[in-house]
Amino acid sequence: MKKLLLLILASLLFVGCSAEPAPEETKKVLRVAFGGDVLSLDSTVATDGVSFEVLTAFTEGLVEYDANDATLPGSGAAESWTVSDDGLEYVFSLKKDAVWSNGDPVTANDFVFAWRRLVDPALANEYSLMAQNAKLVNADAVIAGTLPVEELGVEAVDDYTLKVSLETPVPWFIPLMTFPSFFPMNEKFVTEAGDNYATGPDFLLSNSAFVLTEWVQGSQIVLAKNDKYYDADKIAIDGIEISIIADPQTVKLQYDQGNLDVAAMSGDLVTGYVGTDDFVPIRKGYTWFMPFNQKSDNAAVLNENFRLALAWAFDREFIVNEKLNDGSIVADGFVPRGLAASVDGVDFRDAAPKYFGYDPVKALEYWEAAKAELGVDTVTFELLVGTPGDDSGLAAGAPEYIKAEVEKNLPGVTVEIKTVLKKERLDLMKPARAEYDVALTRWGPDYADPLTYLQDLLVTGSNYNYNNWSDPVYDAMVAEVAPGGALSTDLDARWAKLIEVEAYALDTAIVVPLWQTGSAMVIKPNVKGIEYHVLGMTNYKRATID
Amino acid sequence: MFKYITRRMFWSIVTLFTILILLFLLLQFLPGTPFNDEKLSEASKALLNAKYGLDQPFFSRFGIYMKNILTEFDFGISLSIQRNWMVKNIVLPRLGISVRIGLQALALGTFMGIILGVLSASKKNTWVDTLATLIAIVGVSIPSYVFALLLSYVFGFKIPIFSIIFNFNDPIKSSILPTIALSMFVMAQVTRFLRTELIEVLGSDYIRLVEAKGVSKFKVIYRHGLRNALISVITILGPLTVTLLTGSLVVEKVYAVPGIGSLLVNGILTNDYNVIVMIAFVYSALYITMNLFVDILYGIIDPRIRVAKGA
Repeated sequence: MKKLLLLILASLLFVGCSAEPAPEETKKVLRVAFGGDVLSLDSTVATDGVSFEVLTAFTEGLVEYDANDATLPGSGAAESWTVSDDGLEYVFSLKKDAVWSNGDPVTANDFVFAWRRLVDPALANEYSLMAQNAKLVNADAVIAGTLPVEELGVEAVDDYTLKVSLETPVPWFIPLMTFPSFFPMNEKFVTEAGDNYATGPDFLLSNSAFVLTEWVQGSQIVLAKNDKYYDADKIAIDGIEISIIADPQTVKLQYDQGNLDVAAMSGDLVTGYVGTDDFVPIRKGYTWFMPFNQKSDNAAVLNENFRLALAWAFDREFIVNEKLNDGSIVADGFVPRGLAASVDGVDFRDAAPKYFGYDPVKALEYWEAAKAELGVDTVTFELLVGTPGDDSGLAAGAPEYIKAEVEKNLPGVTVEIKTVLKKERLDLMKPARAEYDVALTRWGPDYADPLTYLQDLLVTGSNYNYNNWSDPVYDAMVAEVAPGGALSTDLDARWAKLIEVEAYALDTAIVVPLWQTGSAMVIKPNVKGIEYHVLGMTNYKRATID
Repeated sequence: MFKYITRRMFWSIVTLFTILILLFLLLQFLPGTPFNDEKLSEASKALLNAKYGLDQPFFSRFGIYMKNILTEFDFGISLSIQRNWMVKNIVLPRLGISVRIGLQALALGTFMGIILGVLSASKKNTWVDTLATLIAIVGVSIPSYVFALLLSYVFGFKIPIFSIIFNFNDPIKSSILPTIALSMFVMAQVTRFLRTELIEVLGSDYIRLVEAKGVSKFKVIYRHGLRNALISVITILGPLTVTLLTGSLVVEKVYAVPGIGSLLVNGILTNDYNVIVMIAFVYSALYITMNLFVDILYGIIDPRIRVAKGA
């Protein structure tokens, strides 16, 4: 018996020793960890961040962000463009030396084909809404099926000239073109692949710096440098190897052992890297905030002083530093930092005031005022939150912290936390149901303009007006700065007005901004030049490995 | 025996059929829809529902569902995990690795469990027994997540013998740590059950008779004792398969194994009905097959339990 055991142990050891050393790493391959799997590599079907990241690595849209978040002519497939005086027509001249990885040239028709595919009602693509955001002529009617896809406001004037027509001027149209939903597709290739399109490396083409060479679902995505790319001689790395690892502990072990060059860290795991060369905090556009449902039958939620009391009753700094610790920052306002800048390049957050803070005395004053107005001594309300982990980006323990602070600083207030899955939270919050008092939710920007928050979440009748707030004065202010509004072409006046719009909403604390998400990346110090953007996807084109 | 097996197979098929019906009914109560994007307009949602047939009346959907599965073994297309892909093209490539690690763990766990069980029963109340029992208790009590992490920390990181994550280019070696992690619970259970049973068997009259004949202790245990005691082990193999399936969710996550455990969790979180159905169906089929297998094994190991005669 003992012999048998020894034999087993010995054979296990033998297996261990027989490990051959890894072959000498001569190729400069960037090894990146992703927490989730790619859901679709068809750019008209994809809707999630991971898929967008991978798509962006091997597909080039009309424009790309540079390191300073600018979208300049020549940064992508478009060499240059002109805009008509009324802002309704964009004519793009495409680069003539750009080719797909099968050798076909990248033409204007590739964009027309892809965009029509995006809005085709027969395909029912979720992100056809991006064509609506871009205000493409007839987007609504084509998506609804009342007009054929050929009526969409995009046409190929010739092989290298693309004309786009808009229904109203959209100040953020060019940055919007970085979004993967607007990527081109090679019509002949896609049609030949049929249902197999985007199911693997053989059924995908690249027109960018890297080309997909391997995709093992749920495990690995390998990209190699694309030699056919027109700027191939400027690409310094030989490829990108993406491992999908869901467990953060495992990511840390892999990184520490040197099997990864780039990974995102969260929670307690970040602490070990803060202060080292590996630690790179990056900023994302998501703003977490607290909406107050104005359809709630809880009178306190409708009371301005009560909302203000809540806004001042807990320390957002504490949540960011102690509960998140991942590079997130306190949201001083509703519009996130790094989203939009004035004509002079001043960030919206630097131009606008800071809102709210931690001040128990002030909170108590508001609470006393609210009690008098409501004629009550105690208030109980429900705080609807998602399940940590499922509701990605929600700081674990933040709801409990808010509850504890609010109940301590506002005597008589009781917070009842209701935890559900994220999908259920969103369902309860949607205006058609509106079954909640106060919630913790987040919003990611759809385009590089404050309106992606100030209009889409707060004007009367918007699908995402979770507050069910309706204020004619506010709606009128937004109408002035919206596409086609009185100020839509006077950019300086528009900018000043946008600051007023945010102030109007936050002075009533109809929403309380909490934090702007960040992501703590760890990157090996010999890796440089990976560009992260608040709104756009990660750009690996200028990455180097020493 | 043949009649018995036929009967059991018939009931297995009926059970699977019932499971399909129950799955369809239960999924109606899953909150949310596959189209969870908050930025989706109602009109687009209606389009999506129409495209994927979710706007059809209940019975019509049920009819299509049963017909496609029973006649073509077609579980439909994925609604969110790999949108528009055939579900079988998502599940089947991942099934192999999950089943392989599961079976490896079952085999390793049972084998080690029998060794430890026999050791502790035959050396009852010695340090060997104490040690084996201790291992068994630890194996039952440590959550597989902690054990899996511990293994990858010690043998993947501190003493880098194995890779920390599963590697397709080296599937045998990189499946060793997940197999060991998953087998702990099996080993512990088998050890505990076998020890108790074997001690009882070894104390019975016929064993005393065999001993009185002068048969060697080794033969007493292996020829006369173990065969009787193994019945208890086989009884728990069925339920243990379930533990393997649930344990694999955790182990797959820690070792980044692209198996079906993680797929099921994602399917539930994103309301990918067709993926959930296929995986649940596969799990049920595996479990039912395991039970059938166990029942047949009973008959082979112990002629007294050949139920067919009675039935």
